Amino acid sequence: MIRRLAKKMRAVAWFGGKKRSGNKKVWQSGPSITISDVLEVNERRIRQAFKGSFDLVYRRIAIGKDGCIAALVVHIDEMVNPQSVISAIVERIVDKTGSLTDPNTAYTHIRDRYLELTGVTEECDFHKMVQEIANGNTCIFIHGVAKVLVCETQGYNQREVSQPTTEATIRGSKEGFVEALPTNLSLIRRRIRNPRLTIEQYILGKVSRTPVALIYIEGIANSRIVEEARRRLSSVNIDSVQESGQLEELIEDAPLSPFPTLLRTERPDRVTGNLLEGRFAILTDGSPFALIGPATFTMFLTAPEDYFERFFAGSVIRSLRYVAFIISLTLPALYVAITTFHQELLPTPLILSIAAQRDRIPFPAVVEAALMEIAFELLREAGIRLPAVLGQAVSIIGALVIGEAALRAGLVSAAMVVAVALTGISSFATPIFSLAISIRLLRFPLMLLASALGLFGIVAGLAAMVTHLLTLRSFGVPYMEPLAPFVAQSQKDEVFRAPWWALDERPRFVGEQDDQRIAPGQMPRPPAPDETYESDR
Amino acid sequence: MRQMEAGRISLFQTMCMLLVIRLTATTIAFPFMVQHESPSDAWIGAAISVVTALIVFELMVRLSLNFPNMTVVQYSQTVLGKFLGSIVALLLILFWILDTAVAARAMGNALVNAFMPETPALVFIIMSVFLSANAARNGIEIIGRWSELVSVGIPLTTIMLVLPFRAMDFQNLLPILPYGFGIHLKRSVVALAIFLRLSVLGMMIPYVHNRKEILRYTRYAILISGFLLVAQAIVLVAIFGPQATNSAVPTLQLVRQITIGEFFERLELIPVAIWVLITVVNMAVFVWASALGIAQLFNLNRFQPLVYPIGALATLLSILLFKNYLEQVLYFKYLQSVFVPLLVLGVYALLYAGFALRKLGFNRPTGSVTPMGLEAEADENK
Amino acid sequence: MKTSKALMYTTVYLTVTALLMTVATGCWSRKEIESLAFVTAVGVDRSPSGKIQMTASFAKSGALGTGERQTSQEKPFWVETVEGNTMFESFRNLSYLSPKRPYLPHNDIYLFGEELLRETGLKPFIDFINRQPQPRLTARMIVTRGATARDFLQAEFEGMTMPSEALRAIINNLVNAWGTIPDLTIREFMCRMESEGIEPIAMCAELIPLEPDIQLEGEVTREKVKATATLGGTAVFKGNYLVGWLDNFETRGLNWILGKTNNTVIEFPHPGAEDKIASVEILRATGKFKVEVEDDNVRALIEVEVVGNIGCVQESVDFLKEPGLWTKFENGVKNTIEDEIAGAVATLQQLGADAVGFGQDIFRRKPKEWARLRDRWDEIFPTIEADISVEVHLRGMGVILKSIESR
Repeated sequence: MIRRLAKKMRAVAWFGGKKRSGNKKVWQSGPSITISDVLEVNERRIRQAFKGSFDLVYRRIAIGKDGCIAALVVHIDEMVNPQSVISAIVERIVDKTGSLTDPNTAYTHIRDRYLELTGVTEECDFHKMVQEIANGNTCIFIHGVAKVLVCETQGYNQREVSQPTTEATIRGSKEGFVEALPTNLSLIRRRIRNPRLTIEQYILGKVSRTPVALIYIEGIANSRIVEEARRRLSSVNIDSVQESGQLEELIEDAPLSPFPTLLRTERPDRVTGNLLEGRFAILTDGSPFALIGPATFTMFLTAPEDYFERFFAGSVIRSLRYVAFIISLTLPALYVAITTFHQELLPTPLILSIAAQRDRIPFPAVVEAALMEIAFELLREAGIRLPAVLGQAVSIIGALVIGEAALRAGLVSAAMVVAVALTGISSFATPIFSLAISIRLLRFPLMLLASALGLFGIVAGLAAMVTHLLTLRSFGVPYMEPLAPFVAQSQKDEVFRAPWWALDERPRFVGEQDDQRIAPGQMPRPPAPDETYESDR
Repeated sequence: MRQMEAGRISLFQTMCMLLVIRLTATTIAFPFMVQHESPSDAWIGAAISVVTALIVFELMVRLSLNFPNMTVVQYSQTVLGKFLGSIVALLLILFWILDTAVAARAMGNALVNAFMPETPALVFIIMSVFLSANAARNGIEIIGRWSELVSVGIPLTTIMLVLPFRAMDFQNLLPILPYGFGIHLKRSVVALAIFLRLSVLGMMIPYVHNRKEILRYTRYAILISGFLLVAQAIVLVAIFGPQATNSAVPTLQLVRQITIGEFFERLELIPVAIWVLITVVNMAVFVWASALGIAQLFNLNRFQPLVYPIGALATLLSILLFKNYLEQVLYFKYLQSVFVPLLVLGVYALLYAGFALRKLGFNRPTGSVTPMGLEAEADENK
Repeated sequence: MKTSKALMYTTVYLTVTALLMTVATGCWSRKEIESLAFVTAVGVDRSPSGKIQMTASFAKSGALGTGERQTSQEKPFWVETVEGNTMFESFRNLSYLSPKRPYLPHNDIYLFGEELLRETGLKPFIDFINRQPQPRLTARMIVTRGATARDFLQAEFEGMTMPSEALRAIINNLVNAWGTIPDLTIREFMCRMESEGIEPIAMCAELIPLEPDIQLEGEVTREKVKATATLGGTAVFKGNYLVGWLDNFETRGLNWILGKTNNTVIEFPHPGAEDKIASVEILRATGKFKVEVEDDNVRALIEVEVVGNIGCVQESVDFLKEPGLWTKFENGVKNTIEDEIAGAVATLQQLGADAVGFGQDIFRRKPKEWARLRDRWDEIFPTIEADISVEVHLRGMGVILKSIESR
């Protein structure tokens, strides 16, 4: 059923619910055509295929002895590295083939000896060749040879590897993914130099032909989970993949759930950490965000830093994050419930203080809370959208308006401002943005329930939410694992993090194949004094 | 053949479920203490009930393990024949539905009495029954995980029992046996009646992983909940003295006594939240068990469609059961302690008799009932 | 598949509808915080017409809180008095006078007028406190001696302006530094009421009218302080009715027996000098008692053990020269404590109220004997002989060794 819904969603999202009949023909490659041995035929066909786009470069060169062999070099102007096309291809083949007269000999010599590029392949199929040009490769045609040489000359401007903006850490790697897939792959390969790191390529998007990489470690990853990932990736049928978010919606388990069942990250160390636990990652060309699956709920409250700081600090910070999660979900609702239903639950001085603040507020508590929360969400959204220079100004104005003016004007109470601020800060403490968004969404129904039924409403709302969470699975792994189902062994790395020398097993389900992570008994112990130091005599 | 309930639960989850079911009654209201004739040594009665419960469930589980792939609804037909077996199973199912209603009503009433007097109890009942039916629809696995989560409430409850230490006076526990032992024997039946809610275990056993160990975990569940029961009886008397028998929501009153350092007080929020959650999970187990039981009884394909009707039935019952709070108290004190043991123990006595006769070779012609899922599971358990 | 999709949509639809319905209709128990008047102390008296007269002290918003701090020196509380037949009615009657809804859970103090308790008894009032969900059983119960609770609630205190807060602070002071007040909550009071062989007790308070016409100066704009209050002593009940009082030292005597005195100061005649007084600070005390029954002969064995330091002396002593004085000091303390205990027991016997719980002790340890004595306990209790043994350990003598001598 879920898949049906997913299909439906896809249709709604991309084609407005209707299928256009014309599409099929355009994106089907038609009957396969072989490459002609006549240069002009090839050139005409390519021009036809690219509809006469002006950025294609057709360069006729004459090679061989006295230029007796005609050749054609075709590439897209801005997709190639001009250096390699000019010096490594054109100059070289003109230079080297000076003694040859036979086109076929020239062809084999160029293929096997003359080109100094890493990738040179042969192609006979016209459509594949066109695709290679679109990918940014250069094709060399030689008159009289019905084959083409495809040289890897991809080269385009790309962003430098820089610090990840959405997941900053203090300790740990400062590298973040960029938009180019090869660079991203190199960031991962560099961290796991092992042949068993497997990278499978998928070309997704009928129009965009975006390369997507499925990465896992053979022997650690659960093969059934990987198989499922393969199945879902290959069943994706979409016109274009511009961002991994699109892909996420097409392959996740629970498309209608407010909770994400795939983890999005732009940190290579987070990806490798999860690969080593037995999970898989999906990288999309053009997106600096990797998808990690199977994702469980507790992963969203984990930051890479937890593993890099010493374990006391790591554990404390992580458990703090759980507290922040609970606060950001329930605090406004609790405020509403307590100020409208359960005034007996607060100590006398505190309740008198809140009562004094609320004395002249014109709204009921729930309206007050909702207003403030909405204002805060607006402020946050505006802060993100605006250029960095203006963002500062907005946050200052917002803070002034909300924090000071609204308070002075008697529109909201100081306690509410504190509650909203605390909620906001807590939601920033959630390391993965996609979960933070769902929490922001779920706060509002909880607030409504609290205003109708008080504490019972909150508990009922949370119960409904937990029932939903318990039914979720991500690639077959229960979403709330290892809290429920409770896995005692995995508790070492949940709310608290045990020291590395005690994290001896990979998580259940995902890391079952090779579950030993660290050889036991590695707790460091200083040597006895007399072994290393000369004792005082 | 496809199995109606495909879920599997672990032993730990089973134990949590049993704990949750048993503790629903004690988390805020504490029917055992209501109008106790001899409060100072009431814990003796509680302890006796633990011992009897241990014996009763030892026998129950052993019987069930003779039919490891069948729920009690299924093997009752194998043991007693189609007709008698069906009646016996139906009785059990009705008892579970009734208990759902009672749990819902008790929770609704206590919330109304202690927190929100103007709100109709029906609102609380409808919402919580809906939540539990929703959980039950998702099968035993979800309920098992739920109970694991809410079991966090058990250590929390224990802490709640310890925290008002400053208000305790253990001299209140004296004298011991001023009114003789008989009272406690009688009273222990009240607690045993609540223990007999665990008879729903008969529906869970076929879905437990590694069910050879189930006996041990049942014992743990009874001992832990029994320990809490006794501890609660002791703490309540130590704090409230003779007043302990007088409160409709003694445990809530107990938490109200917690004041540490002038500020750490008024913690009712925690037990109430735990209690609502525990009740929801408890009802979910009952709704699941009765839906599955009916489906198996009438050879239906799925039990899920039955879940909401059963919830509606329980809601209706919970309203019709008691006209007022007095009737609820009287039910807990008298009616429940008579008819529940009579029903559950009677049913199991019958099952045992039937089983013994079959074993002795009086192979009564049994109906050709093929329990569902038996084939699918047959080789798994070898 | 079709049906399950339809079911899913139906479920979503129903859930949303249910949510909206609860939100739209659910306002049964809603009470916005600003519409509540927080009661911080309740006083109950008998009105001239014989009804209940209830006086409630409300906290003004911001009285205790910070928020926008009020600069004017107006009283942070206001008091209202109503009449009614039952406690419940009286409490509701407060709504006639208060624009905000009276709210009881934050009430800490219940005051009862002496006259009321002597004549009407306590039962009609305690039922309200016990039955209703709002009142808290951790509240304290105070009997106002020689005054009505109403007058008492008009009293003001310096330092802490809210009467309830001030009373609680004074209670804490007395419990921790004197032991001259019974330390018990309403819950313990009710526990005593229902238990066998023990009578309830409550705290006692008195009103001190201040000198008339004190001129308050400065920015103070409110009316002058008319009266303040002091606490100390015990109100002794017999069953339902108030029967008498224990004064401060008798109260301490009772607390010695019950082991409830912690830190206190004992004064006694200076062993080394005529007409002079020495005082000792008691740091820890343990007290217990045992009741022995032989036929109708009941004896109570009371054992108290205290540890203390020399507090101060009116005439200088030098223990280094006269080590024997140490024992004499200890004996002085011992005698004083014994006197206080004997005084407490004697007064209670005179009142006929077994506030110590001798009867309870018999009930707890020898239920059968108690069944025999129970009905005649009123006759037996005044005849109980108390064997008092006090053990005193003086440990320190401050930070000096001997007093300053004048030459």
